[in-house]
Amino acid sequence: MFYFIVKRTIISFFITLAATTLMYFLTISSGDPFEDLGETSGPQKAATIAARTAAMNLDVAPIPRYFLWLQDVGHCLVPGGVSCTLGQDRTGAAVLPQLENAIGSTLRLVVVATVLALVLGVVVGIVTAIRQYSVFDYSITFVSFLLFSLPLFWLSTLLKQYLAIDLNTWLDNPQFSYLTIALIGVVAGVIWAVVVGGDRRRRLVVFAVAAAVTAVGLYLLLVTGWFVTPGLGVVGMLVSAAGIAVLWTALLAGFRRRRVLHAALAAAAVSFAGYLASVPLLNDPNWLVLVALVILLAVISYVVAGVIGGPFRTQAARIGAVIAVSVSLLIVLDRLLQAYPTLSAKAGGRPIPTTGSQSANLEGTFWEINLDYALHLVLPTIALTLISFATYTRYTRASQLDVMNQDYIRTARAKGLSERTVLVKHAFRNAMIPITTLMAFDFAGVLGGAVITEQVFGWNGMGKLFVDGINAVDPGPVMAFFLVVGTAAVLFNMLADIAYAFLDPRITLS
Amino acid sequence: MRNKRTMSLAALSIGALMLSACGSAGGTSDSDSAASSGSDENLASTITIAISQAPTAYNGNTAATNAVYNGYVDNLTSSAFVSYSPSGTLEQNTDFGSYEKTSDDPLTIEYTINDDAVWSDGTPIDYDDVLLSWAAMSGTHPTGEEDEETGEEADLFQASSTNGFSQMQMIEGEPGDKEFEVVFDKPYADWEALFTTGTFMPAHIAAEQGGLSADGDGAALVDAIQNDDRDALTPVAEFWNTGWAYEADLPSLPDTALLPSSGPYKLDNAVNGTLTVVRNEDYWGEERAGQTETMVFRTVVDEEAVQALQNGDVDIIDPSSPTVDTKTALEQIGDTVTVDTGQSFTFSHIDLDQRPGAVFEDLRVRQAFAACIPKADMVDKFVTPVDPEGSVLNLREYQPSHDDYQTVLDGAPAAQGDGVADIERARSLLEEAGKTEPVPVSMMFASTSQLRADQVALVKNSCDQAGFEITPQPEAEWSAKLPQPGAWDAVIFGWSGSGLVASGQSIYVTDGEQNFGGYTNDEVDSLWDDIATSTDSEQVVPLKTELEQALADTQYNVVLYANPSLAGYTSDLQGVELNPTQSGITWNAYTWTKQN
Repeated sequence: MFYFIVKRTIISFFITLAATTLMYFLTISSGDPFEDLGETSGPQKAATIAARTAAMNLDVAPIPRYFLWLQDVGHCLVPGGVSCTLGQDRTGAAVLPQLENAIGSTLRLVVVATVLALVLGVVVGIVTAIRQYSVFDYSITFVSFLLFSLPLFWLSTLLKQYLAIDLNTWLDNPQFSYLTIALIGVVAGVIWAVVVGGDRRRRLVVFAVAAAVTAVGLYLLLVTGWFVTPGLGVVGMLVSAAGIAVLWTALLAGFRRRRVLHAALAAAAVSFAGYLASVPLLNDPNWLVLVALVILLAVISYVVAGVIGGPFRTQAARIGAVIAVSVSLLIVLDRLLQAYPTLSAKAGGRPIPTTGSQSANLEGTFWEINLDYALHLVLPTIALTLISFATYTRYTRASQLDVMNQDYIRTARAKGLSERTVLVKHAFRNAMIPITTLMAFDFAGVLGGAVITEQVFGWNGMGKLFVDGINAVDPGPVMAFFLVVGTAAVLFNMLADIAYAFLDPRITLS
Repeated sequence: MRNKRTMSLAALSIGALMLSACGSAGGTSDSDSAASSGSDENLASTITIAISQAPTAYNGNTAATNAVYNGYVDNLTSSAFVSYSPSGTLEQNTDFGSYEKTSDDPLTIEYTINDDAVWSDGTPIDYDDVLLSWAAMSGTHPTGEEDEETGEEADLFQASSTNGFSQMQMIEGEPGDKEFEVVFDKPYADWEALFTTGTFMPAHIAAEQGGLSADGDGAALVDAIQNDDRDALTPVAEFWNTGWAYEADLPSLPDTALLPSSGPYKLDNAVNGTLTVVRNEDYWGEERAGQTETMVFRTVVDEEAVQALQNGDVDIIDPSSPTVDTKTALEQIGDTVTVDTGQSFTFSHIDLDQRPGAVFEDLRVRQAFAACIPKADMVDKFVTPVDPEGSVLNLREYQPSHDDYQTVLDGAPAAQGDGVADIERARSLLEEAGKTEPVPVSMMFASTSQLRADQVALVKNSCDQAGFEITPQPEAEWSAKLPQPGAWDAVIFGWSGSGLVASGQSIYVTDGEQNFGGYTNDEVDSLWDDIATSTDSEQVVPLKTELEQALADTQYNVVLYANPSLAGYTSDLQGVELNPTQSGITWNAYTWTKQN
């Protein structure tokens, strides 16, 4: 193991070094660093050329120039001595602070989207695998290929038009005609009928129930002015907490053990009590208070659920903690929704922006500021999620199908395990092994930013650093970008290999 | 049975649909929008301006920071004796002070700064600020380090330009003076344009940051400059060069105490490329006093600006190279957005290689080429769809948006023309020149520009009929190839006009730095000598009329059209006016107001 890591690290170092050489010379030979000055005249031109030549060391031949850059990188590896700047860009500014800013905003932009795409993709992938060749399976296949082939700049233009410009206008005076409400109900009914499946009768029932619930729910939301002053409310929280308890129990334990269900419901009750108690505490908190409260709630639920769980206390306690964290997320969501009316007013009645990463000069509570961040993330996150969703569903579906046809699944069924146990414990866990590789690649890719998304939605992340650098034929920022992305790719690859060995006992590292 | 059930279900649903079609749920009951409209008092406190690149520095006078969008901010946070008006001429800023030319030989101007003029931190704007500008931009503080290639000595201060200031003697005065006299060693035609918005930087900040005391109206700094104390000036110069620079993409502002303003607004904060300026409470003037509390500069790339405007994320956009598509998209939004179009000072033209032995050495070949170029077609395709008022450009030193354009054109008959391609004339001119075979012309353009590629195709289409044989020559490094003799026969690109009197000199005189075609003409050279030293703006127009006539007669190059410019803004915004100069759309942003 140790030998493996050392060997891989040494190999990776030389791979990265070779890659930087290639990248450096490709960058500096990709164009004319003075092209932007072609149409300017006058004395500034000569002065700008002189300043740029000095900053980019253009008076040094390419090969020694590469070593000058390597020397700058070396300053960052060797502690002490000359300060670490990663070289200069063409205006003479240090690259390192730019890189730090870019990584910061890229992480904010891409992490949520990646996690969301992962969760959604895996869930949908598994469901399509279980219901192979159903209408649902075909629909998802169709949709994911459609999304996979969408050009991002086009998708983002549509998103901006419908989910920002038009939705903002609608939110200003939220109303639907009864006909629209009925149509939305019908569409929702069809979707649910297709997802749930079953025989003809069951589908009809699902269709009718889903259509009616959606239409009536939407009607109620509209007449109560929910879209003007949204929130879950006390009743909503109570119902949601109970629902979450049942859901997690169904997924993680099944209903055969009554004690576990009781424990889960108790944890939900504790969480709900926590919600009531937190109302005065959370008017304008900070992250520390928030995290502390979540942990406190999780610990209490863990203990309570463990006590009630009796003979199944380990399982019950774990479910209790999961429920507490889920309910906490709901509380946060509820608080963010409650901040919506004031934030919307501060945004001039158009809360969903098409560009930028935060509003300028916004003064408000913790919730308003974070809702503002969230609203700025809505469009780019949807765009990124939709596109990477496709990859995850296809991979998960294939992997899950592969596992479902294995002998040990048949054995598990034959010895009378419940379908839930077979799917979650035996099939899902093994289906995840190949997905690990994909995840490792994706998280390395995250650091590279999303070139088009950043540009289209006005974020200054890694993608912008790279593209601006390339356009200006400025190796400083390009190489900084490449160092981070290249190192991440090599590193995560190694991590994936190690994780593989842990997940699959048949593999040994040597 | 089953049929019946289906029938009744269908009937029921149709009935429900019919019922539901007439009515709607939801909606806000209180329509506050009706109550607020029409009242003049209800002005917005913030106006958001889209810029396509983040500002790079507070001091836009250095070689590294001389960028358009720094000027956009300077228009609000800085003031000086003159600024550019929308007609392209200089306009006195009476809020800041006044000046008067007192002598032509030597050229002497007396300046008076308004007594009330102060930086936004309360320090008076006076002699030390003026002297620092002179010191920084006159190039009189060589470091002694020589550039290996050019042999020029670098200066302590890395100014973007030393034009004008280097012709100036050191400005004499005492710390605290509000009046000063500028004396030029030799006449300088653009003397009025030296102290424009953005020129003066707060000397007391530079002094303090450079380790000098700012007490006594900057006596220490004044002393150091007057006595040329290099050791004291070096840290000051270092701060002047880089101390006012922002981080790339403007993640935040430096300490705003270092950024006092001399204009109607002052810098407040910046986050992620969004810069906020607020009204400067210490601004003394009345004419340019800010009308709106807060102005926000938001970085939005040109392609996304229209949707940002439509969604209200920004209130005004002015894309740097607007196309027909930009305009159509803006117009489709409807009445909520107003679109203004005009012509900028940037113009497109074709330069011709006329060195001995080159294709265009013979005047008649140049004239034939000019005759066959479909200028009017180009205007119809690339200009009028954006700006309906756009027309063929006939002059080189004036653009149609300039006040004097028509006067000069009337006086230069050789330059007049409607720009319609005249194949017959071109053919007969080529015959006169003795060209019986098709004349091969390699026409260079920027390979990244589709616009230029389209234009070269138009030229080829027309001129190939007249007896030329055009070969398009797309080049990525076209600007590096411009000064190389023989690298091209004709080249199409743009110049950004400045509105200055003498800045075009190096384009037209023999061996001028930007005279890429090797043009040489004694009359033009001597005219430029007169123009560059003429200190009276009255004399410039007749001289330039003669110049235009000479340039047209000898067919220096082919000018095509002035690029259209465009601004789109929410119709609630009042006071917006296009400005063709490099000042940009924010030149009068202090007068803007927005209805809520």
